[in-house]
Amino acid sequence: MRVRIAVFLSTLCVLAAAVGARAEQALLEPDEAFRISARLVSEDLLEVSYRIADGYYLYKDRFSFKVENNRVRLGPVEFPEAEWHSDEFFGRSEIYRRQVTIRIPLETPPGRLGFKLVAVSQGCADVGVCYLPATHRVQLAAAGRPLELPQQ
Amino acid sequence: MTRAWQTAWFLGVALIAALAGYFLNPLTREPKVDTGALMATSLPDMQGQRRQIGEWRGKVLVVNFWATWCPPCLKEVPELVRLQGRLGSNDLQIIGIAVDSETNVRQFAQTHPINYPVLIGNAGAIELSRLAGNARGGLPYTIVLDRKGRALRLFHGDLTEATLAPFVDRALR
Repeated sequence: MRVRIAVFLSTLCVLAAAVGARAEQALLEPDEAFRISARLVSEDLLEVSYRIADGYYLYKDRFSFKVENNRVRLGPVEFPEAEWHSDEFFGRSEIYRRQVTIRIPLETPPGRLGFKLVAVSQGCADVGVCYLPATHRVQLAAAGRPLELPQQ
Repeated sequence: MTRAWQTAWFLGVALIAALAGYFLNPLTREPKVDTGALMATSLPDMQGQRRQIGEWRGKVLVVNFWATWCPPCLKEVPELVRLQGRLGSNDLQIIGIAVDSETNVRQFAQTHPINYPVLIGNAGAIELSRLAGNARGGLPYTIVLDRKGRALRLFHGDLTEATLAPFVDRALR
């Protein structure tokens, strides 16, 4: 009986330590937690999507978008409905989980050469870790085929 | 099974459990992190004076990477303030490295007084945290160093005074 108890307790100790070690390693790189893609839906509409890993979220008020091409001008950004999140410092904030698609009208058409979108986002993990605001540059071709460039 | 075999089994299992506990216990398991870059780093403090982390060598250091845009980071600041207040005279030195701007840090410190040095690293300090063991670049990130500047323990995510105290107490002994 004593042997069984000892085996049981030691197994529990080893498992607990292993789970603790795994929890640290399980945290994702920001680019794995938040995957961006963008496409031109038409000559005057751009869609930017983020695929968000389970247990992670992006803040609605920390998105910003601009273009690196003076000829193209972005219209007012259209966000879908967000969910509420509370913390003791920022109070209630709107966040997105799993997936979000943001629509941005183009006030001037991109032309044949396309343009480069600069997208900034910031998010956190439910385990109590947040990531630096991330800047992505996405080259959008006139045909609507996106070419994603490395994060800066 | 005879009594002698039972005793042998019990002692064997206990020995394995003790060894597993020793090597897997975070209090005794030291991370393999090169702290050379961290100790050599020099950054301005909130008064604009450049400070090198290495100048605090000889004390037990708790280096905390944080930012004002990171709610879990802000949550743990009062916990670190309490720990510094309690053990500062015992050779504990907490150092905050803000992955943030001086303006944001000053604004936060006006309403949340901080009793340990905060060095302003701006966004670039996240790379320093990666060199110091923060593989995923998340914040807050905290590293406990012994008096010789060796890493004793890494913490990803927010901390409480109670979580940190056993590691600091052990290093101060």
